[in-house]
Amino acid sequence: MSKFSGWKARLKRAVHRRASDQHMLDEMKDHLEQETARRIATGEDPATARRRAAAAFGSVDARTEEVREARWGTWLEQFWQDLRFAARNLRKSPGFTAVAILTLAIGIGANTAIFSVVSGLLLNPLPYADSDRIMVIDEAPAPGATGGSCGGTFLEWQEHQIHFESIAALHGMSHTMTGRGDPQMVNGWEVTPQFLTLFGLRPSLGRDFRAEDDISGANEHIVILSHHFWQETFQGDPEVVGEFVNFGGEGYQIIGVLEPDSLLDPSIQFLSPTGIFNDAQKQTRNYHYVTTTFAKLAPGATPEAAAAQLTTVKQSLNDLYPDRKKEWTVAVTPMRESMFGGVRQPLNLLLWSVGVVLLIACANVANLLLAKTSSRMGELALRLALGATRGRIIRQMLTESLLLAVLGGVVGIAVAAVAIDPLVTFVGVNNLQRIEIGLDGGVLTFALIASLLTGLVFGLLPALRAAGPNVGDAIKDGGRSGSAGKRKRLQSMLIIAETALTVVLLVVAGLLMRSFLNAANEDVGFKTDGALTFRLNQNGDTAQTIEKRLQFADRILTELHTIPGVERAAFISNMPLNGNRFFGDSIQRADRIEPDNNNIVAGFDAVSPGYFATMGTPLLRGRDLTAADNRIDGPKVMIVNQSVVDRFFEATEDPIGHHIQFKNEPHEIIGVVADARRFAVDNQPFRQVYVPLAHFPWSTHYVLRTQLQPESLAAAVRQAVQRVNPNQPIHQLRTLTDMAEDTLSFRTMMLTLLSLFAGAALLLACVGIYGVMAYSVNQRTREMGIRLALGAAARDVIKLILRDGLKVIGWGLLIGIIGAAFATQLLENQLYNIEEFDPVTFIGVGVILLLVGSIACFLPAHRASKVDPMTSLRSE
Amino acid sequence: MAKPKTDLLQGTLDMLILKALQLQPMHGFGISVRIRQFSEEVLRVEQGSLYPALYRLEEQGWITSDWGISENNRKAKFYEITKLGRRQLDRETANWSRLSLAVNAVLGAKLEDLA
Repeated sequence: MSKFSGWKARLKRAVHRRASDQHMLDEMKDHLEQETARRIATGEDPATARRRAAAAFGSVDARTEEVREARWGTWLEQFWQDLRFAARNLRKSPGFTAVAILTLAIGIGANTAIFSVVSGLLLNPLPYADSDRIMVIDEAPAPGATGGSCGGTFLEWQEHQIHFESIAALHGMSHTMTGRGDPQMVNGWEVTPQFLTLFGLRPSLGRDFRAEDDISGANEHIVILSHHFWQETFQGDPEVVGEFVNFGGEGYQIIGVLEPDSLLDPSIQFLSPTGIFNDAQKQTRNYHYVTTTFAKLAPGATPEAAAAQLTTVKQSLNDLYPDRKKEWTVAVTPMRESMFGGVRQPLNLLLWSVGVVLLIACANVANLLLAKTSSRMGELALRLALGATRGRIIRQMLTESLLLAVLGGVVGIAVAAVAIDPLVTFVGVNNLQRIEIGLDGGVLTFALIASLLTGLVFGLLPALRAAGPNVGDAIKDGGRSGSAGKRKRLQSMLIIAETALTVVLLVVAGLLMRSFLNAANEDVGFKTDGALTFRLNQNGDTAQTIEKRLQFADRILTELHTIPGVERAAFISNMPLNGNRFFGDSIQRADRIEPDNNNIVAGFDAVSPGYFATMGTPLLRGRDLTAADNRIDGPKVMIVNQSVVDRFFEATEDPIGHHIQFKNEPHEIIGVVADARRFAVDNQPFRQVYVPLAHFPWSTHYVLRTQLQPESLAAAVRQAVQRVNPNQPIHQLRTLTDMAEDTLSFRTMMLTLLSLFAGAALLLACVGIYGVMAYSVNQRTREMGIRLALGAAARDVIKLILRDGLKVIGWGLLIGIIGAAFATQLLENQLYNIEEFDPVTFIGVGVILLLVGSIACFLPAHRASKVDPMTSLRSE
Repeated sequence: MAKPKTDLLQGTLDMLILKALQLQPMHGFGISVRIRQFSEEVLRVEQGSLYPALYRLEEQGWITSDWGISENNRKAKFYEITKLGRRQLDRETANWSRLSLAVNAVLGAKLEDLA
């Protein structure tokens, strides 16, 4: 019959708890049967025997319950014991405890803060009823690309859709409000009637829009106010429903007020009807009326099915679409993805980085614990000899680690609480209403789990080490030799691990930083300083015909030129470097048309003559546009950028005079300009064509060049615009430099945070290296003393210690570089003009690490060489 | 069942079980039979309370258990006393003897004093 040793058996029983309960039950049943059999054998009849046996046995249930309670009670009792002992131990070494808790607090706190942003934006459902069913419907120029929607497509979708239970569109609109103090600009959305019900919102006062409000002939001049606007402008007057307010010279009747914080965008002050059916132009499938379309899937419907169905419908109605949209399809994207999908990758990068920092912190605390445990070997060995089981010791050490980790977590939560608001502002998501980013239940749970896992990670190794010493040896030397070799190996491995992780983080941060600098220094294709830009949305009576738009643009330019200090002024449909707004379409060489080839796409803009001079973009060949070209019935001409020329023409060909097929018409190339950045500075330049405003008057951004400080002209610009149209609102008035910087601001933010984490990792790793080296030197004091006594020079001792330390760092560096090579593969699309294996970065990181690591090793080594041989030999 | 009685009985029951196992390993039913034989049917112990006691003794490391085949060819759990358990038994037996000597002395003295 085999014997189980005590703790293994207990572990087995604990693991097979239910089985052992069952066994006991079986045993007791067996006992009853045997007792019954015995009684029968002595002459009782079976029924009596059974009854008497049961009586003699007592209650089976009571016994089982007794055992269960005893088991639970023991566990609880032991846990409480462990906890008290752990607390006492931590109190005994306040320095260690403080350092450990602080290290952990920073690691766990940073993780919690970042996770709260991730959770708030990417994990939590949007704060609307059934938000997972709310979709955004876009026209899709290419698979994966989204191109918004317009009045015509919205109507088409509304009429033909079958997978949605509600559908609505919004169109951004601003007015000048007059009659209530100074004229002020108000921002709002024109929405279709189902808008509020789609989001499950209701007015707190008055009524919602009805279907009757948006049909042909209906009164468009009704408005629902946002709660904030109502408080500010109407002082929360409960009788406001029915009153009138003057927007853009028209009286709008207030029909309702929204509840507080209803909409995600806090800058929206009113909602009014689209009036789509009152205006034929809004119903075209062109850019007259740009909308964002939302729709709520019916239960059970899928976005893919909806997209496919709407695409089929679109294709059957393709004749109604402008030529350039013939190949387009329809995309249906969940709203959250549409809003925050772009931010997912950077946030994940931050989360991983901060996780690495936590791991490094764990390694440090593990090292600390290993050192501390080593010095307790004597005590532990004694406990083992006195009858404690190994399992008990492991459990007790783990409790200590978990206590440390939980304390670190609590402080970490406090750290996170302080850091979350600045973080949110820094990341740039602090202007969202209704979305909560903070320490909610999910985030706190994350912090708790992170703390517990952290405790396990750094506590397991020392705990297992603590339970395994050789009793005799440990008591003899007070725990210093014997197991010291293994401990040293463990500590070295931990240092190697944290060094490797630090290297990976440093390389990633370094690559991104270099990429950023490359981008920032890149020639954007125009001069960014000394220029002012703004956007004018045309609506109302200034925009009904193309003629009117052209006249308006002309007058604005004339007025701008009258401002003293303005050297040049011009306009373009969309500013370069604006981030993501652009108009694009397919182009081909007119003399080599391939009828089915729609794949070569270029961005296009309408520009005024003199635009390129204003922007400082060089004209490389040919001529600029003139006023003569700007006629609706004029010959189709265009200016192309160098990328277009590179694509379509040989180096020997002169593109001037050739034609490009664009929007199904040949356009004569009259000039070639240098490439300008379309999206962000770090994107590759794109093919771009420029046409006169007459051919595409749907959007205008103005830019003016001045030698003065651009900001100083802001007031004059406003006045100039108002001279043309007193009620024309101006958007995005800013200097060109600011605009260029804005496109980099997200990158700047990411980079700052990443560098912060990489720096923290480096600091932690150095502290770790220093700590372990100092400790090992301490342990080897006697050895150093002997060496010095035997005639070694101080320099030799230093060299010896340094060599040991650098060996470990070297391994960490090597593994780290290999790891970094893999990690950077994941960064591919974020790197601008720099390869994943950029030697400068890798070598730079290696040098930094060796340098800093050497210093961390040198200090203890230096101390070791100062050891007085006599003192060290005598001391113990 | 009144609590104090059970407590007293707990310690005694533990000793009885250890004593029963002193000579050879046995399964639960066998232990209960042996105890009855010892006490010549005087001590009336609920047979069921054997099993929590066996669990407790195993937790404390005084006995160990393993599966085996019983006399009537059934699978049964056999218990065996450990070194720790024997030491405990000796200790407790010594205690009992000292206690009973003392009690006897007290009782004896009382009677004589009164005489």
